[in-house]
Amino acid sequence: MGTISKRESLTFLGPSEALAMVMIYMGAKAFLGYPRLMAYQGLNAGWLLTVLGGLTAAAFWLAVSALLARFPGKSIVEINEIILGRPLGLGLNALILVYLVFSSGVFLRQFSESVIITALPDSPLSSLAGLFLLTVLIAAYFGLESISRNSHIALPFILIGVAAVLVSLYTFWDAKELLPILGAGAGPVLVHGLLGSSAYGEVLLLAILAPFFSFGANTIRKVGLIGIGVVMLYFAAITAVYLMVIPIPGATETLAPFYQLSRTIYVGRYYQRLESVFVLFWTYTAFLQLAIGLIVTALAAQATLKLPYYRPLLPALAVLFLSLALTPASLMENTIIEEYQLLYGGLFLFLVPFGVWALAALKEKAEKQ
Amino acid sequence: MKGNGARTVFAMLGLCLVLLPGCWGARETDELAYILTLGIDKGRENVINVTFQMALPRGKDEKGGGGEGGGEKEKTTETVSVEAASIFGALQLASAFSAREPTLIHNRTVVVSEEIAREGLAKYINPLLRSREIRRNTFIVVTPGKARDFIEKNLPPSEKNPARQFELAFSAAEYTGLMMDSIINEFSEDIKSPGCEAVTALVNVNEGRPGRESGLAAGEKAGLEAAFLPGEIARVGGNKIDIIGLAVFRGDRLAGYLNGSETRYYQMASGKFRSAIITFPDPENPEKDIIAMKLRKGRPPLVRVDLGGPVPKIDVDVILEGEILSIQSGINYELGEKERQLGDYLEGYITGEINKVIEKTQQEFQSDIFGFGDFTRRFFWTWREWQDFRWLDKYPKANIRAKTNLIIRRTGLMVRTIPVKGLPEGEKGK
Repeated sequence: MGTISKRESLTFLGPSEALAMVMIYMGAKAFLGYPRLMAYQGLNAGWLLTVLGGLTAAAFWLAVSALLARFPGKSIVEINEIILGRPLGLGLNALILVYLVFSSGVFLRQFSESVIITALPDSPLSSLAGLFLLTVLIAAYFGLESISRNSHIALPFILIGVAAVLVSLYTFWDAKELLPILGAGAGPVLVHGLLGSSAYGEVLLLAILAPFFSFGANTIRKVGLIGIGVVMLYFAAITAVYLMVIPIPGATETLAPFYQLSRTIYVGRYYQRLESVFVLFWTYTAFLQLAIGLIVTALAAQATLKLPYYRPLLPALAVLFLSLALTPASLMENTIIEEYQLLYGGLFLFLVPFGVWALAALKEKAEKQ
Repeated sequence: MKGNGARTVFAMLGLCLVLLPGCWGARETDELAYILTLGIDKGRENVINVTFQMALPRGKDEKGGGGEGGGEKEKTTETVSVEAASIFGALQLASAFSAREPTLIHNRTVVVSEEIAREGLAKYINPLLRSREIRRNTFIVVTPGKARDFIEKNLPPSEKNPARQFELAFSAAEYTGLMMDSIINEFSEDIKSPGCEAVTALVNVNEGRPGRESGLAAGEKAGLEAAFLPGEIARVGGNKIDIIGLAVFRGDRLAGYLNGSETRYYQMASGKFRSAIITFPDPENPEKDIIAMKLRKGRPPLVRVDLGGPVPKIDVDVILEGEILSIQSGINYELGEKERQLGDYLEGYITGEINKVIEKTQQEFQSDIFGFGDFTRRFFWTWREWQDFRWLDKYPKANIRAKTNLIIRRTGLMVRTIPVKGLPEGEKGK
């Protein structure tokens, strides 16, 4: 069985690069409809959903990382085949691939539509998404190392930028808007909180890229947990500030909540109209998210299909991303798809490796007996 | 090295691609007509009459406007009104006679006439919230007259830019309390909230009028010092507009007005008060003398809610700090028993005024503009339970009582007042 590590043996990423990539891959959705969806599902308790989702995702991640620890140096794609056998493993990996392509397509459409609505109203969707994807394609062509280092450099700026926007809105904060504490009610909060783990599903990136890391399974587990933890704090802070500044029921209406927040900043005459700065962060984060999505999908496809190189797959995958992005007839249709993906999509990413982990544990137990 | 250089150039060219989509929407700044103030009146021929105050390019040598007797002044804005079915329809029609494309990206204020506000503002606010050109921190103000008149007559002598003028004018709320800024974000949230109602700033044209003989005693006059609606302030000269008081809404419809004085007491009870200089009747000689105090917020008001009884009970503790600015009577209120006496008197006076405003909002407006309903949230676990409690229906009958806690912190640069011709009895020789 061919492994990714043999073919890409020159690429080894450190923990901080891996952490930066996984955080950007998971966290970029906060700049699109994620805070609105949390507000819609949890009402005043929207921020609580992000925390419950994060804790659930961390529990799932512990199982996935335990699975990785059983097969050092192997990716989840390879492990699936080892545990389930070639036909079943191939089927499962194909499903993961379909999901990766699908999620990047949805993200590309949502991002492009948000840019059209907020900044470039006269630009055609296909040109905007196409030219953006071309840039992403070039980045992916340069390889994993370039993207990971780029993420590593960009992450502190993105984190500081997000924190600056949230703090700058302090004049609009009203903590009373976070009450009643259970928002939509204990049942819905719990259910949506558990389903909210989907928002952290991209942590599986670490399992796909495991052969490219210069560190072992124990560190992969830690990187995943730290990534989920920090992103969870950011999701919770963004959603809480969003709810305090644009309270329920208005919070359920906004297309791009974080952009709207950045437009609302007014700290005196000389500190306002900051969305133009935010748009730069926003665009760059989306660029990195899609570049990570493209290369991870290509590497997963390479491992699944046992191909010697991943680069020839990039243009084909980019065309798939674009086709999927242009498929929904309207923004509203894509928003509904995005909501379903945020609700259930990541859960699929967790449940599949969780099931494989459970199967591996059962097999091991049977072998011992 | 050569390979790396090519890759770098390739990467940079690639990044440039991200900028290309912007070319479709490119607009040169001299192709746009920047609207600074937007006015909405009821239309005669069509649904609404929309007024745009547009910035004129700097250096344009037209002359016009100018204050009374002020000679010629460079004209910095142009005001046009268009009748249309919607705000955006009016924008399109404005292009028919404006060479430049009108844009709202620099609009800072929306002025709405009373007539429109009484019909309901939601249908006019929603399109503004949806628009990419309008920011949620745009000011929204109501005028009892016509929005067009207000915008046209607003010619501040010291400020060319109306956007900046409103920013500066509303910043005066911090030291007068007579007005309060109101932005679209807060307004739109308040008209949808089950816990509070909306207010906006109130503005109007003031053509100027000299003061009239009222026949009231000094103390009574002191109480009415700031009790004006815009357009009623006794003054001559200056810009022909007033920004004072508040427009009170029930739902999205205008319910009534608070004058400047009531606006101060409203802000004290709602925690929005910063500071103001307020004139009170002298407690020992209310017929003749007054006392001027600078009051500032000590702490946010403490609001205690009791939902146990047949009607909700709310106690509001307003915490203020004061500085004596003037004692006309010469009575030594700065020290000892007199200081306590003055403090008690002012606490009672302010409490009475706050309670009057609360009562007015309960009986006349039936509108919880204080946001007391938001303090009832903590008694409920879920939004649905809180919504079903229907606070806004209960507000008019709620038992709400304010109490003021005033600490006189300073007495200006004087520590005591000596009456004309000598020390008071008991103070001699000490």
